[in-house]
Amino acid sequence: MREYLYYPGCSLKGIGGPYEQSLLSAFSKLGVKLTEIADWNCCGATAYMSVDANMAIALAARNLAIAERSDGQDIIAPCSGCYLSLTKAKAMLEQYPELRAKVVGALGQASLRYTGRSNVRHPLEVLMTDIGAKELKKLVTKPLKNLKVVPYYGCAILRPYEAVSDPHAPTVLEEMISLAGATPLDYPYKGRCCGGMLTSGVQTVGLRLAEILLEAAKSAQADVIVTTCPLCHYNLECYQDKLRKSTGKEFGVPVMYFTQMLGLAMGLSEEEVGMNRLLRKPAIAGVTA
Amino acid sequence: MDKTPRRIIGLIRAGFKDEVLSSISPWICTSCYSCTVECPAKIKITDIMFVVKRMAMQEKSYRRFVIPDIEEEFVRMVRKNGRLTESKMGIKVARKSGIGNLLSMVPLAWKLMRHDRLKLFHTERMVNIDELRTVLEAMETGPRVTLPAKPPVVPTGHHQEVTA
Repeated sequence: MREYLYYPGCSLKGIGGPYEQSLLSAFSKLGVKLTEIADWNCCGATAYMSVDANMAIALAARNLAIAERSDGQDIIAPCSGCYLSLTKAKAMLEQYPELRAKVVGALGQASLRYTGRSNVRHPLEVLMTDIGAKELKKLVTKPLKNLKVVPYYGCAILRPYEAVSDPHAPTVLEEMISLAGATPLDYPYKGRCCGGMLTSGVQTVGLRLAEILLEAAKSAQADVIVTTCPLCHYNLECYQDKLRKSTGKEFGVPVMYFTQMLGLAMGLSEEEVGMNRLLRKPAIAGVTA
Repeated sequence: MDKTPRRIIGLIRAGFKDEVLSSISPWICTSCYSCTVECPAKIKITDIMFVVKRMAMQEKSYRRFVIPDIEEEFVRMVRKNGRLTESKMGIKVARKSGIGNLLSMVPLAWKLMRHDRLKLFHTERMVNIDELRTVLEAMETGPRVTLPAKPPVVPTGHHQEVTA
């Protein structure tokens, strides 16, 4: 049985709840065991990095050190922000020996050991590489026929660490949409910023970025946008009402997680993948509107 | 954005430190790293923006507005609980960007609560917060390690090794 460590991060325990639910259901259906990292802490996101880099790296490194207590399993970080923070911390600890010495010393004060042997991975890449499109396709019992899907990657799983897919022309999400029986749409904004934290901080900028993405999805006549990140999901799903008020444009585009899409295609029920927790459900055969 | 990224880089090269550190532009950067992977000269623009933000924060020369306030609040919350509580952070952010904004978020918050994605009186926290505090306090002793810009390298053991 395949086993991985699971780093949920703050969002999957809150607004990104449907992501956690569908991820756990889909992996369990695949017979893959996920063990949550014991007493994990915040990854630091981009906020801590903007205030203090030394502390931000130490914060992320504590999670990596705890993961090292296990039997060498890779860490799955579904939130793109967490994925990037943990990957970046690991990369910087390799690049800066002086910083590494300091962080290793600080972790040692709390009896934690860091060697850098844990790998950080995104579930999209794990599914498509370790399990593979061929195996996944065999498990698709309810192909999502005629569903037109916008593949939306967002930023952090593509850049700057190019481990998930080509940062300029990614294809892995399209491959997953196809194997689920749906149709991936050509979407030129698939790697563009969703607005990030600006949707709550500086809305004139943040909401405009989300608006560009939604407008393009609507004109492509998408049935649904599929995302890989809880912040992208929130920005695209939750600000549609606000955008209607400020721009007069009605989008009405549902947004779901790729794990929900895969789960449904593998025959999991609507409840098991948390479809009822979306603010707007996509029109999929067998899914109640 | 009061200065374009190109202008920020130009000002840094020409030594206009005060102008750079008091600019709001680096705080508008969402760190999506588009510039970093596009730049033909491989300038690490996103990381430079991070450096500017940190210097401005440490020297207290940043202009007060909502984004640096959010970042500081984030750090405070993580140091206190080890994790972030989205609902509490959301309320603080909305309050900082005006009472009108706070009120405009109420219908969305209500919807998210009904969809079991937001709990108003719940605080997300670690069990052993003392362990994290020990680590962070140990990081605060001794000099800060400076991090000169280096090209990003995919860490070893990553599934696909790609050298930048």
